[in-house]
Amino acid sequence: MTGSVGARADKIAWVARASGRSTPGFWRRFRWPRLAPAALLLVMGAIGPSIVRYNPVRIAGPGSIAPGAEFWMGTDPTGLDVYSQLVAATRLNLAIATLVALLSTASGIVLGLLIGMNESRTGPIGLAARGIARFVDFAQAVPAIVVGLVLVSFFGASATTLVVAIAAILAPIQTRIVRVEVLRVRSEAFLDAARMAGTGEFALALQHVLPNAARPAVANIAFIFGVSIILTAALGFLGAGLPPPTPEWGSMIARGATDAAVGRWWSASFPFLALIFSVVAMSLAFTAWRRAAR
Amino acid sequence: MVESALQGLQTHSIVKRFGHGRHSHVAVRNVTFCLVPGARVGIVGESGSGKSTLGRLLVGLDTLSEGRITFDGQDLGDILRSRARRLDYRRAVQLVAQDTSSSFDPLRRLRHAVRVPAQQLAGLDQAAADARVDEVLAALGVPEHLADRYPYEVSGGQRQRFALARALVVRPRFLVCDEVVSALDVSVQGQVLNLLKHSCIDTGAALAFISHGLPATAFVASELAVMVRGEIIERGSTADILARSTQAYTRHLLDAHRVSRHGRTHAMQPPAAALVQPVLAPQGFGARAAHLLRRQRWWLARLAALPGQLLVFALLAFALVRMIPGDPVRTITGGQATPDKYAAVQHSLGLDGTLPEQLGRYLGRLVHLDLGTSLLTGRTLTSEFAQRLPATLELATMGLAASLLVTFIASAIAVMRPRSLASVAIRSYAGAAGAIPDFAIGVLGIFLFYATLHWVPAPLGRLALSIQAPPRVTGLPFVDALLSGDQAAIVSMAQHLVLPVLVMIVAHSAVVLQQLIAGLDEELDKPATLFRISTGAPVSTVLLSVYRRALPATVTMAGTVFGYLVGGAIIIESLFGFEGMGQYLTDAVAGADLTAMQGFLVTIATVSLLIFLLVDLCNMLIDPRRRPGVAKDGA
Repeated sequence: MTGSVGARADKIAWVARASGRSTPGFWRRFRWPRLAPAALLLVMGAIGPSIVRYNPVRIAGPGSIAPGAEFWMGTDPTGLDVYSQLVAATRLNLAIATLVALLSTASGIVLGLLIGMNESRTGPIGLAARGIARFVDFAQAVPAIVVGLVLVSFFGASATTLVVAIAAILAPIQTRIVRVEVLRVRSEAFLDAARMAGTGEFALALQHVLPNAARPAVANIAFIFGVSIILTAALGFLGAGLPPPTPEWGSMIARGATDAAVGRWWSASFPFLALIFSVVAMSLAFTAWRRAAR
Repeated sequence: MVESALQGLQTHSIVKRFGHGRHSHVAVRNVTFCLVPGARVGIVGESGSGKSTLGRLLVGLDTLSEGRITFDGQDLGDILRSRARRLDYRRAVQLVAQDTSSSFDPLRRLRHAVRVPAQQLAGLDQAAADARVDEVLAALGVPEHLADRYPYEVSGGQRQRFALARALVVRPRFLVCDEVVSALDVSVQGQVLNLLKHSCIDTGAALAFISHGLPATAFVASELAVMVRGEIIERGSTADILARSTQAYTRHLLDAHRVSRHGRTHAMQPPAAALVQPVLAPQGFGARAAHLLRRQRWWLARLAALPGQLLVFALLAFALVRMIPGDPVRTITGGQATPDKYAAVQHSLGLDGTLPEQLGRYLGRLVHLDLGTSLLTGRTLTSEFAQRLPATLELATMGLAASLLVTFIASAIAVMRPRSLASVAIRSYAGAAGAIPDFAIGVLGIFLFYATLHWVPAPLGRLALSIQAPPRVTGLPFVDALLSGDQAAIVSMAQHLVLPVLVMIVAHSAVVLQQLIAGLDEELDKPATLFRISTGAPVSTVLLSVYRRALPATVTMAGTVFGYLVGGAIIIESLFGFEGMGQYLTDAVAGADLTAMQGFLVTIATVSLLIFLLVDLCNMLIDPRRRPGVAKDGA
């Protein structure tokens, strides 16, 4: 099993470290084949518009045609070519998910650091930090899909709104992770050592707390990426995403749903597979990175 | 107080208290102590006697509760307030702490840790600082190449030499050492102690050596101070104290060491009862009763947080509507609305009048459970939601119950037979937690089980069209069907529920499963479990106890999943044509019904917060450490 091989590699690295011998470098440890699916996605996102067979936003033929030589993945009930839509949607879905992952992680790190470093203070700053910490805790209790629906329909469905709304929904996850890590790191002895070395509190937070506390959130990016892909698609599915016929996997599945209910499998299955493939690809790539970095 | 002209570090009746009020704990009480240049003072005492806190106070890492510390006659508080003077103080007074795995930043090489004080405190440039680092390391007998390793790549003894180097690199006049050898092997202890003693003698640095080990302290220090429960009870030259201490406690410490030195086997005398009595225990019946009452009120404290949380969400929903770009009233009425119509819509959105007026009306209505009137249907949201919420909650509860059942069975298989194919499959499925699109699973389920296999009825509602809905009693559709006793309705409804519940199981079990398996694996690896297995307890007993200990985390996750399921129910409802909150929301979104969406957000937030509250209360019931107001150990 691949998992046990990975575990063994971890163990070898650990033993090598414990015995004082230097470990093979990051680049040597990196398992390049694990990047292949993610690379494929990136290529598809980059050259997508030039490998479509039909204009993805124009009716290409009769509705609900089964996959064949003319329409590789068939057509959906409205007559759009599924293959062209799928390929064209890659760029949009990847871009949204990537931006969301970066934005929510960056804001989660900043917020988590601010909360974690200030919440034990007295006075208004400490009070505000504790208040925000509590809010971040219970903000997660509200279903993301509800908040997403309301935000997107309030502010209008555009790529920007989607990115900002989903990032705002997912940022609390990262904030919580970072905050917990900051609280852990704050009690570590090396911070006192750095204070004794004359490092100021601000520099301390940036040089020692931030790098040590940000790691789990960075490692969580793949998860955030996956969730944001799913969430974007779910909003598209419920009709709150980008207006049709913009190519987007979620709205493709929504259009395919009526087909699926009468036994035509293709128009919902292919975007579903694309969804799963992109989540798995990112997860593989990140796991490879994490293993190599440890 | 008169400024002391005395050179060195001096404390004047200092007190350090942790925590507030009745939970406070005094770590250092009324200590007056001085460390003059060139002295080597050992501070001994048991764990918890306040000696480490005293050390941290001396170097200014903790703030005093009472009293003052002076350094060369100047107040330490003043010194620390000014950056320049603080750096001077750091250069003069350094701390070496006990070696723990966390005494060096794991992300930086050891050289960095030793170089930084040389640069920041001694003002050396990088090259000069590096030269100074090499010089100090050589003096301490550390091989030069170790400096370019990470902290976890060297042994504890070497690491402690680096800690010493980090302090000595700035040639401090005073050195505070806190348990510097306690974590080291005996053979390494001797080497580090020798280095420390000779470094101090060579550089003329004064030393405060804090330790619970009397022999090590006696070797390094020329004077001893004995600390008990935050107080220094005795001080004198090492020889004097060792030979003729009059204090019972000191004698006890000495005796303990003598016994071990001569290897005699008779039982060690426990210290006098008065010495080990805990400081925190409340005395007397009244105090104990008050203490107990405070402990039992935890759930009230948690409950009290709810209104504030609700208010935050209500305000957020209020603010969101006002952040909508453009004029929402015009968007709804269209360009050519009459002023009357405009005013009517504006009023129904609650957007007329000044902002404080709007807020006042909004909150006033919320208090009366009035969420406003839908622009689309003209019905009040409260009555709509009262109609629909029970159905949605019933669906989510069914999904949760089914998911939990599957989760428990699957997790048992996964941990009992970790190498089986089933376990690998279950674990990979759990790894996909959070990234399983429920709507797509639903679409595929409909394709497979309805359109292809015809196992389930069409996804067009809760009941077959030919069957009349049972009379509404509780509002929970399935419960109502059961109450009506109408067999056809019960069977039809159950048939219609199979696929939705299956979809919820597949889409949402992974989150709890992942958490539960991780918790179980961790518990199984613990010594307590291994011990239990080694005693020959049956597998079921072991598994049961492991499940019980992994429970709190799982309860939390189940609460989170219930939240997901309420969100998931919205998708399921729109997918399977069920009447409920979800359908209402999608209609509101399609019709741009602002009032409905605002009311929906507040309602779902309230439901979610109530779930969150329930989870918290359950966890507090299971695990007392999670209760608010339980004193955390400050020392």
